[in-house]
Amino acid sequence: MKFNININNYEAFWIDYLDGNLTKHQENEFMEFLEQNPLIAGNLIDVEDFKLPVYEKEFPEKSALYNNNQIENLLIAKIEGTISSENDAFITNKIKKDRKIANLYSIYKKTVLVPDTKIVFPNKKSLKKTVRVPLFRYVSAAAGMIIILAVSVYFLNINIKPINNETPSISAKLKHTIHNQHIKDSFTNDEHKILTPINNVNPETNTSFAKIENEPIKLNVPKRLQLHKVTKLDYEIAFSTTNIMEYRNDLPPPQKQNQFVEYTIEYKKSKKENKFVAGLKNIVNLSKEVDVIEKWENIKKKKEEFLYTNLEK
Amino acid sequence: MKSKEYNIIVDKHADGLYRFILSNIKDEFKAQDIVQDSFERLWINHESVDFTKAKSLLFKIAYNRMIDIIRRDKRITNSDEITNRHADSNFDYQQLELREIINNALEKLNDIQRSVILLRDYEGYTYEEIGEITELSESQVKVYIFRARQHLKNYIGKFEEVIK
Repeated sequence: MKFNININNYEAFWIDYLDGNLTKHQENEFMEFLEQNPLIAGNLIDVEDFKLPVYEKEFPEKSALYNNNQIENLLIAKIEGTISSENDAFITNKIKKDRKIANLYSIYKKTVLVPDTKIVFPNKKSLKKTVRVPLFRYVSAAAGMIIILAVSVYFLNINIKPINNETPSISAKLKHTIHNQHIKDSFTNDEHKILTPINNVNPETNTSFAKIENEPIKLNVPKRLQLHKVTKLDYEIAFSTTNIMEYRNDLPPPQKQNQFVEYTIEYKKSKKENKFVAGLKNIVNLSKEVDVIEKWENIKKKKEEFLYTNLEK
Repeated sequence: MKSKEYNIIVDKHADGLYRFILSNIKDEFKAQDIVQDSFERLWINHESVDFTKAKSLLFKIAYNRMIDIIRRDKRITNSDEITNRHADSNFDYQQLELREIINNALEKLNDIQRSVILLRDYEGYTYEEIGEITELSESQVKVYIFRARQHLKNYIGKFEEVIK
């Protein structure tokens, strides 16, 4: 590749030559250029000087052979930070020993421009940009959300069937079979401590009342019932069972038989809530669950109260 | 480059660019216009510009814009400039501080020399980067910097001789 060394760029090649950065090929071309331009060559260096590196070790006063231009090249290369270590050592030594060169170096150092940091762009804020989303995008996004919400509310409400024409509700029937029931002629008092015999035989019918004591009831219902499309957790309980039994004293006690206890838990929606609010609540409560066991405990309590009330009667 | 990155470029380089342009053309309003215009152009293309290259591109845009303005103004005010330069020869050097001397010396450089040495010293660009901004070869950049330093040295030296 041929390098286009000319009057406009030969100094760069000269600096590279001094720094030892030229390849052999570039160096040859540069020499060729200097040969063709003896005036430039003379300005840079005497022709004899090119031979100096060869005799460097034998000629201790080599520096004396450098002309001013060469010295200046080295000084510039030094402040530019592009000087080779060999040339740096040489020129540093010269600066120390030669006052004139030291002065020259001092002036060259002053040519390094230092920006005045007090000068600042007066209205930097005006250059900054912020990406603004057009208003219609917000509006359309909001409209989209409203539509989605409205559709969700609608579909969540259509499965709520109204009862009594007004109040939507959902009900769950919990059926339980009571096994191994047996009759006891005594029952515990309220504190469950003292056994009190039943002695209220009806002389007319020769019958007695007895409490039927069931084994602990285990509900065969899901532990937690997922609420779907149900708003208000008001519930009503209804149970029909005969736990107070009348039997004839002159006959053997009745055979064990299975009885069914049927409860209905009914969840009613509050009458005051409008459909839209209920729908919104459905969305919020969709993942929530109702604790059926807790409800069941309430039912049991009510059942026992009912039993005892009737027994006492 | 994202808008956030563009704003980082504004924060980091607006002042430096302004100083660079102002040092070249010595006209605050024109310098502000060039900086404003350059950032505007950078913003228009910000999505296709790599953040790491944004500074170089910014300076390149500003440099080209500045050269256009300098060329245009030279055509208009060439005769005025000659008169002003003539008046410069009567400077009272002793009253000038070094910064002012260097600023005056900078004015004496030709446009390219001034630009390359400012990019070198103010922004610390390498010869190669300066070449990319000014669309010069690396060798040309070296030569221009070399000559610029010699001119500055001569000017400062002349001043120092006067005050001795």
